[in-house]
Amino acid sequence: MEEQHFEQRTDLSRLNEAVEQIRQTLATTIVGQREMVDLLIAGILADGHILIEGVPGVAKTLSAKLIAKCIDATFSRIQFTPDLMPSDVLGTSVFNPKENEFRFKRGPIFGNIILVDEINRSPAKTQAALFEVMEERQVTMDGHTYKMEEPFVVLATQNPIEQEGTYRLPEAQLDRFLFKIEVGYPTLEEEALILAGHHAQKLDEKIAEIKPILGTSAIDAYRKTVKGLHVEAKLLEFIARIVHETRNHKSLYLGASPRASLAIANSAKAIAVMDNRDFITPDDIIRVAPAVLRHRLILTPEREMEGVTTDDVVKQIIKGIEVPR
Amino acid sequence: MRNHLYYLWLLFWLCGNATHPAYADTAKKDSLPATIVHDSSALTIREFDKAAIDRFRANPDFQYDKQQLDLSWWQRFKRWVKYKIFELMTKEGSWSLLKNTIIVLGIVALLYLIMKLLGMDMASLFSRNAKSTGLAYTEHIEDIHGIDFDAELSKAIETRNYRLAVRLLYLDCLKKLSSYQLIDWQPAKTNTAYVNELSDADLHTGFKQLTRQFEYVWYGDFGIDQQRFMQVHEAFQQFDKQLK
Repeated sequence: MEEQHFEQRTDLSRLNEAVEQIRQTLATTIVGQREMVDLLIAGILADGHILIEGVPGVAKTLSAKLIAKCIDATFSRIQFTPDLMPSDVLGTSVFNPKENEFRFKRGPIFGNIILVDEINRSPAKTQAALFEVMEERQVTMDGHTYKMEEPFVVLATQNPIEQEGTYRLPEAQLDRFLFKIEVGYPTLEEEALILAGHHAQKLDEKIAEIKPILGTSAIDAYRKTVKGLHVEAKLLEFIARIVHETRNHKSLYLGASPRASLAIANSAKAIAVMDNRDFITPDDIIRVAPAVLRHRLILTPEREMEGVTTDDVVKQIIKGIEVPR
Repeated sequence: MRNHLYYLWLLFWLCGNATHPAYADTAKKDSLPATIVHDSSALTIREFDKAAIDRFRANPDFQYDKQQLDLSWWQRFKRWVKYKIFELMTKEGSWSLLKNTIIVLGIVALLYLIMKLLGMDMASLFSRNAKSTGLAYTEHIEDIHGIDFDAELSKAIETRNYRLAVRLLYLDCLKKLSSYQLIDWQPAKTNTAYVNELSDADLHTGFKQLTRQFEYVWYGDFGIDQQRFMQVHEAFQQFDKQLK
């Protein structure tokens, strides 16, 4: 009914086609996890970095690898280990005896899609190396600044902090991730489908068959479309109220930063575009808010001991705010 | 006889000891005249430094006199309370009062612990915010129940404010759904939540379309002219008939 009343202001057909293709491609290998896949796509469209958390064996790395394969861009993978040094990530100056001078040898961070696997297995010293590159998209070494090529997306995976041999990521770094996607165990039906799929065809073969869907120029164009989406003023106020509440909530020791407000607005736009709309609704905001806020908030020790999660607090906050209508 | 011999031996022994050289020397020394040696060295009489004493006396740090404190009314009140408590505790029968107070405090602490364990929200017991707000969502400080939708809608149409008119139609629709108890109105619920609450398939589809139209006009700021508004208005009226 609405289609006959309102014509689209922005042509989102190609973008939606690409999104649907990515969904289908990932669905051939990953069973279920629709929300994770949507958030991964939204994160890339919103020009953000994504942190995927889950217990070992729930296809975190595989999802990140597959989404990277769907994008026709340079891909590099860094396995974070306890002894990894910042120079192993960023690069280092090497003396060239022929030219009698130092030359900067670029590290694996120089790429478009960077998969940082098990990011929380390296200590804070190595994590700090990512601060500048994640936020400012540049690396400063020996007085020289090296700009990163766009798109630049860090897809990081991590095990829950309770797991052996893991470090808690610094708050400043967590704030640089647009989303923290939590991957849970599959359901019984999904588990059976995983087994059946694995039995029918080997995973490596499936991955090898995947062809890139989005090029770097397409991503750039879609990101511009996402940025230009219409946002009603009342909805901006709604976002601001959600984030502001996190700073005054009795269950929270640390609230969200203004970067979180921007992240909610940007990712809600990406979700709206994926729903073939060029404006956002409160539903988009409510959908992305937990993924944007859960890693930016710190619970008070009492709440943490009671087993309350930041997701519970975000839900409670949203429940207490009137939806602008 | 034996006793006599013993006393004789004792006498000899004492006499013998008295003639011992050591005793003899002592006796000799004691017999010497005492000589008093006078100290003839010059004495220097030292006196306190008067200036230093005056300086110390003038120093307020060394003034140990009890000063009359200039107490505020609050400090005086606290002193009075302390005094009264002390008086009460030292009086006869004060122990039973203390015992009762401890019992009351114990009961309060136990109740608090039980409520904590049950996970009850303490603030909600005393706060007005915990009450269900019902259908009282305000936009531009207005009560949805207090709105005369017909009058407001006519006004909006007259002024050609079709965007506002669509909003009024939608809010009116939500009010009707709530009054028919088809949805559970909560200000924090989204439109999609209300759509999902409608179990009747026809109502669900109809309201979903109306919601979409409202969202395009209100959140999407899609331009709406008279002709389009009439179509939207017609759709709302159709849904009204469905409700009845």
